[in-house]
Amino acid sequence: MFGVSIDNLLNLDQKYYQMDDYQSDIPRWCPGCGDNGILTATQRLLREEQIAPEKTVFVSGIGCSSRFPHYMNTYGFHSLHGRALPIAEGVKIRRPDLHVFVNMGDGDCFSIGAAHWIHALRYNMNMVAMVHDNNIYGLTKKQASPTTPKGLKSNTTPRGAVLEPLNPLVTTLAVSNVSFVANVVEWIPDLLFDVIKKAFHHKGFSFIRILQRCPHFTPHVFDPIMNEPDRLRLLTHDDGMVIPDAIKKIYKNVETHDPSNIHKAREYASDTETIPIGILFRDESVPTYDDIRKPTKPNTPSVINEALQREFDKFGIKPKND
Amino acid sequence: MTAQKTKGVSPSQKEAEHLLEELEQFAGDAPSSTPKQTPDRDYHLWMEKPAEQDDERQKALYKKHLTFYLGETSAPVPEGLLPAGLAPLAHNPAAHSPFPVLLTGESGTELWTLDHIMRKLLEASSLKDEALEVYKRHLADLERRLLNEYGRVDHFQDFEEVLSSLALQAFKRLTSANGEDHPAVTALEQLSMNVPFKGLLIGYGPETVRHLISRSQAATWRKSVYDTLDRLEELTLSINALVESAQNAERESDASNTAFSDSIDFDKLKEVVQSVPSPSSVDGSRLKRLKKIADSLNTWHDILNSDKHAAVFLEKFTSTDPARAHTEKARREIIGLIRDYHLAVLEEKHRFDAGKHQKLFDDFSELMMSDEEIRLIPPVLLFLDARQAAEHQEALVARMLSGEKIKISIQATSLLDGERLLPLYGWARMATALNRFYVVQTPLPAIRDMWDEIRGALQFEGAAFFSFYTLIDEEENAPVADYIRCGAAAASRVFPLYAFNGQTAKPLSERFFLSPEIQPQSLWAVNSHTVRVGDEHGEQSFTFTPAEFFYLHKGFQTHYFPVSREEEHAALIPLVDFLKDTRLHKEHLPYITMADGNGELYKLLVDEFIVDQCAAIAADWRVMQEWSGIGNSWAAQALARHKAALEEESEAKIREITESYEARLNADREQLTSEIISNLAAGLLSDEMIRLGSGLSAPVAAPPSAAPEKSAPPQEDSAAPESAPEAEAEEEDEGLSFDEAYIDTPLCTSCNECRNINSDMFAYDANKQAYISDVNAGTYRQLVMAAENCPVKIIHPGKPVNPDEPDLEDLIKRAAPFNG
Ligand SMILES: Cc1ncc(C[n+]2csc(CCOP(=O)(O)OP(=O)(O)O)c2C)c(N)n1
Ligand code: SF4
Ligand code: SF4
Ligand SMILES: [Mg+2]
Repeated sequence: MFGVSIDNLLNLDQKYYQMDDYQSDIPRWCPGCGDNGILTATQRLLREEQIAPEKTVFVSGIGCSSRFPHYMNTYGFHSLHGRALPIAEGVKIRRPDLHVFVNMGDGDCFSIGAAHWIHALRYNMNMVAMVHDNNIYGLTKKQASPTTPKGLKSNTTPRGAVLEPLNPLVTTLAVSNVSFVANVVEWIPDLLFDVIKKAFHHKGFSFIRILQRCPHFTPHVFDPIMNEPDRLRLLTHDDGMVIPDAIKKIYKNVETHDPSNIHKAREYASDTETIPIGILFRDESVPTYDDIRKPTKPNTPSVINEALQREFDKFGIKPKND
Repeated sequence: MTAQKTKGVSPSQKEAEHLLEELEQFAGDAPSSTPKQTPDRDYHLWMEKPAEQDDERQKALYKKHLTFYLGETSAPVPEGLLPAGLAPLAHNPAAHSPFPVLLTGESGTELWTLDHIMRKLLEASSLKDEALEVYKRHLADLERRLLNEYGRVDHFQDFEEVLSSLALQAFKRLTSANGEDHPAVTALEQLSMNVPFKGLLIGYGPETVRHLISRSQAATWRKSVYDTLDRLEELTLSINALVESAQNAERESDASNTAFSDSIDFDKLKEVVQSVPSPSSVDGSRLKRLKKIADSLNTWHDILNSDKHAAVFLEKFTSTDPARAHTEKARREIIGLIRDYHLAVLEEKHRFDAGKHQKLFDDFSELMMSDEEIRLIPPVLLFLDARQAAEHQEALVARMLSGEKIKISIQATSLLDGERLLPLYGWARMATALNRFYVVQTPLPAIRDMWDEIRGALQFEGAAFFSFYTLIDEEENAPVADYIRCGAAAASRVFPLYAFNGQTAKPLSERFFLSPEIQPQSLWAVNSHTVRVGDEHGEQSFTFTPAEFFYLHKGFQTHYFPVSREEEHAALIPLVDFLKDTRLHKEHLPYITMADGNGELYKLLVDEFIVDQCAAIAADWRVMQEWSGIGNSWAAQALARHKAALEEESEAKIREITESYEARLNADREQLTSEIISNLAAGLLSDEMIRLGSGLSAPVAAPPSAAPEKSAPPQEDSAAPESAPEAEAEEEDEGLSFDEAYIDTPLCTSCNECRNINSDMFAYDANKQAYISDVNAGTYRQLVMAAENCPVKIIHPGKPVNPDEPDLEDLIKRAAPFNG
């Protein structure tokens, strides 16, 4: 783990990673579960970026979606319900060299983990956080979550949910230091991939809310927007994400939105009739906590290696300079 | 015939009667005094043709049976029914328990069944003709007695003793009545000399497994002690001799002391002794050392040549801590033996030098031992029953995760707690998943089939896990004997026979072994029997599923519902078919086939609870099959990838050929056109043409379209009646049409639904998005099903390629919405 890595010395790692190299166990999600598409898009990202599996860690809480790390052939941490974010932050501060991804369910992030969510936004540490929002507690078999639509029957709301659902986009956009907010649906794979890719390249805390189908417990919640493609408002911008033409053919409601405009972003976010898809907000200038509080002790293998080499050099015999 | 009906018989009286009976048999003047029940002799399966029923009644019956299926009604099942696949075996008079078994062989490595023993005895007797027949009959009796007396007990007996007391003495008494010994007597006497019938006879019971394993392990261990410390016996003798001679020497010197005591000036002597390091004082400490070594070696000799060494392995623990203490003690003792062995080697050659060696031997530890010697330290052997394991769950899990080379055996004596399946098999699976244990699972009656694996696990360098099922009857009047039910657990996949080798170097399929005894290739085990229907005979196969197995437990019988011959209807289908396709659940009900005491076949309806259990067990079983390399989905995937690569290659080749062909074609066409045009021009300019003046347009338009090879087809072809060729031509012109199946690959969300239906037909591209890799790899039905199941509705089935597929009309209708 530590010390001299032969790979670094001989520069042997010229391996080209393929999708399969990122795949671990066979996913055990229900047939048709939207989590599958998110997994594929993420694996595509890693392949496209050619990121070494051992340089990547996936942290999750508890839930169907939180089984994610098991299916990734990378480091993984299937942690506690609601606690994925603080754990990811701990990983990141000690090992800034690792790419950190966080996968949470809507219950995981917006309910039990809500406090951590707010503070993770404010800390703005460099990582990608995806919320698989199926509007329900899936793993525990259908209890209402904060995003469950009003009126939906569940095991905790047998006569239908009584409260208006939480709007996670509005919430995120209201937190100080927020630096990247995107919204996407998992059933348009190319957009999903693009959003994750942009999030990955953003320096700071990239928050992606992904509407995810759960054919098992909420088979019809997304029917209205699936049947009426125009209810998705695709945000395009040269400085944000450009919507490809092929997608524009099916989803015709496309609007130009400059992701640096937070007011407009909040406006789009609060519209519940048309769902914004794409990058709502991005600000590269927000400082990240990892930069502000850079650890002073050597912590990554390469830094440790350097320090060791310096020490070893003291014992080496140097050619005499005359 | 005899005074069989006497009341209040004493044991010896009984014995006498028994002997009398046998005498009669040997005299051959009377038929067997215990005739078998006749129906058992020729038990066969039969049934009558089912009655025909009208639709109304069919519906009514379906409703009635559905209420049972859903658990709303129940009815008692008739007595004496057995699963049809099992009945002919259970009713076979020759069928008997394989217990007791004999553990034998030089290092406790062989396990013989009763039949095995009998065969050996017969071979060894070298009798012929009538004497052989007599002897055979005697053996049959011996077998019966062994079964009765030793079959169902969990204690064990020295087989030599059993053999002589049962076989020889009784036989002698029996036959010497005529004054002379029967020839078989001498044969039997010879027997114990010719055949090494040393070993332990062990019956069927809760302690059986523990005795088998620990005894076998002890015997092997004993052998390796002698192999590794190969001079142990010799050294013991020579150290004893050394002690004796040293003692004699001392005694002599003592004697001389006393003899000369009067004439010695003790003060003087004391002076001398103090000034010179006296050799006799050195000898004294050597004697002490020698005595200590001799003591140790003699004790070990004692232990190794009696039953005592087995105690190391036999200790039974209900929790892990005492087990650890026990093995720790054994470990220290064995290290002690090895130390004393090496001391003895030095002492024997008089090379022990206290100054040099004493310190070393005082601190003797594993660090100074060779690998072989270290291997002599016995592993922890932990025997638990399933209930104890559940109680000590935490400690046990911690122990399993600890990485130590522990050998654990968990035995269930009942698989069921009420209607709940006990989690015994869960432990085995956990051990398997840890990927470092050597795991063996077997019900006790099948232990011989897995014996090699058990031996392998015991000798495995690392940790081992045994999962045993020894049914100990808690129910009165179970439908069949315990050993049959227990074995049935394996055949039904409720408790599969398997072994898993925890070494990670080999591929999984080589390390995972499913016993051939349970037909590992197929989903369910099948037995074929002849069945008579009316006047016709035919082979019929009967599957053995968990439903059949659960039926063998009285507590489960409320989940079965008898279907009388008059109440059969078309919606009843065999359970295995029902399980295959959940779509059948809507309009059908599952049954299993049973046979009564006369061989008549009956249908028993099975309820939803059993169906669910079967489905879950089937799913687990499939995983096991995959592990053992049967129907491996990973292999299939690899194959599909390989196939795709090959196809890609051939497509590229075809493309290349067409391209070059087309290029040539175009060149030819251009050349031809220009030739024609120049000819035409020449013609136009000719006098004749000028003369004709008109009619230019037709010849100019014609040539370009008349490309060389597509020019007017031969007469016969164009005269062919079908319009098919024309249609084909049209299609080509249109390019891509909806007739071909395709997927909007960029929209695929990789949910794997289609590939679950047919992974040859549907493949993933490099982005893990699905495309149709081979329409011919499956049916149109599958294509339509996939289209219906695809959550994003992007599979377009097109038109069927095989016009002969059944139900096409219906399928085309179903496909229509996806082809738009
Ligand atoms: C501290 C704690 N509280 C409650 C639970 C029970 N629990 C497990 S998963 C879950 C909710 C899962 O819903 P979500 O986060 O939306 O994930 P999904 O399954 O829908 O992907 C709950 C309440 C738990 N595991 N731990
Ligand atoms: S319950 Fe819903 S979210 Fe969970 S695996 Fe099934 S479909 Fe996916
Ligand atoms: S069923 Fe549809 S979405 Fe799922 S893998 Fe197949 S084509 Fe893709
Ligand atoms: Mg959820």
